[in-house]
Amino acid sequence: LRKYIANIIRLGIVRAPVLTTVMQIASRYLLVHLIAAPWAFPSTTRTSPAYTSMLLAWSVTEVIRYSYFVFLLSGTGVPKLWTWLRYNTFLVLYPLGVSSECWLVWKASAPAGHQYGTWAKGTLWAILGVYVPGIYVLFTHMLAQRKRFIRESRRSV
Amino acid sequence: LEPARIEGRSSKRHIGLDGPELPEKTSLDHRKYIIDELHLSAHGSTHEQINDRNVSKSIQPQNNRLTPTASMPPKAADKRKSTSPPSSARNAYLLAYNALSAALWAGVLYKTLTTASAEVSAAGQKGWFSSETAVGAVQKGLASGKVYDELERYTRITQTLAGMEVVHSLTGEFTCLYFPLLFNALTIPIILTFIRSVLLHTSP
Repeated sequence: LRKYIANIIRLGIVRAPVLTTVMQIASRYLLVHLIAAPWAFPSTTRTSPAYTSMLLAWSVTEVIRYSYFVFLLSGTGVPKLWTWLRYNTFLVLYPLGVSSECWLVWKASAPAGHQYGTWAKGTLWAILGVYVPGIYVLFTHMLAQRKRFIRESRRSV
Repeated sequence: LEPARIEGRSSKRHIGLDGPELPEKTSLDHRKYIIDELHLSAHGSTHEQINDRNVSKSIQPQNNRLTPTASMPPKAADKRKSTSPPSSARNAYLLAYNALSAALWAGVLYKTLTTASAEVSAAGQKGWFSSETAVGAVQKGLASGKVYDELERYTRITQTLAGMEVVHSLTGEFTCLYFPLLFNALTIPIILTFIRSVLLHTSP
């Protein structure tokens, strides 16, 4: 127990990736549970082409990312193509995903206002406002990783 | 960047970096970079052991707590091999988790593509007169709601599972393999039930 407490205290100092992971997951949970879910705002989400583009962006990203980790953990080695995909596809997929997400949140704000009142509408607008710094943090984080990948792959050639 | 740190993290056998994917010319920096990459979704076992060591050492007054890695002697790598069972279990767990997630998202991708293309081509056949352009057919097809009907639940469940990743990114600090499983088994249903009940009660 003492160990655990000591570790929890250390968390604040050590983990930078935790923040980016939390941001990423939080926006996904928002979309999946509070925007698109049947108990949320299906009326605007269901018929929006942004829902399809969002799913495409998410699923392609995640297939690449998870299979990358499978290669890494299994010890078979990561194919060069996969590494390339991991550090380049986000340049297209991240803007596509994020813009689709924002569009769906924006669309949902109208029924949110009708159903729950102005506070709900305001909350969704505030969330869109939070997206702006969020996008900046996540995208620069990924660009930094990409830079490192390019530098390292150049060095090893 | 400190050599001790690289040495400390490179108990390759546990996290499967010991394979043919690291050619001889690979620099230590590159290896460290690959291992760092793991931290995004999956923490290597070495972290926990660094912490074990750190925590046990922190009882001694002269230990430099905030820079444990710099003060670690390279020899420590040998000790870690003796504690391989929990970390290989963790490795297996993370492998299974990532493989399952990859498969589930591949399912999302496949179903989205097939459903969307069917809808778009149907809209194109039906409405070439009204929506002359391909863009019109795409818009009309995707607005049918079929993609949502087919995929909403599946995607919701798949994405909910990805909440584990927050816990993985934290549990690099924990030695207990079952912690993420337990934590999520307890918290996810509670959070979801809470959200749902709030939404149901506030709606008129």
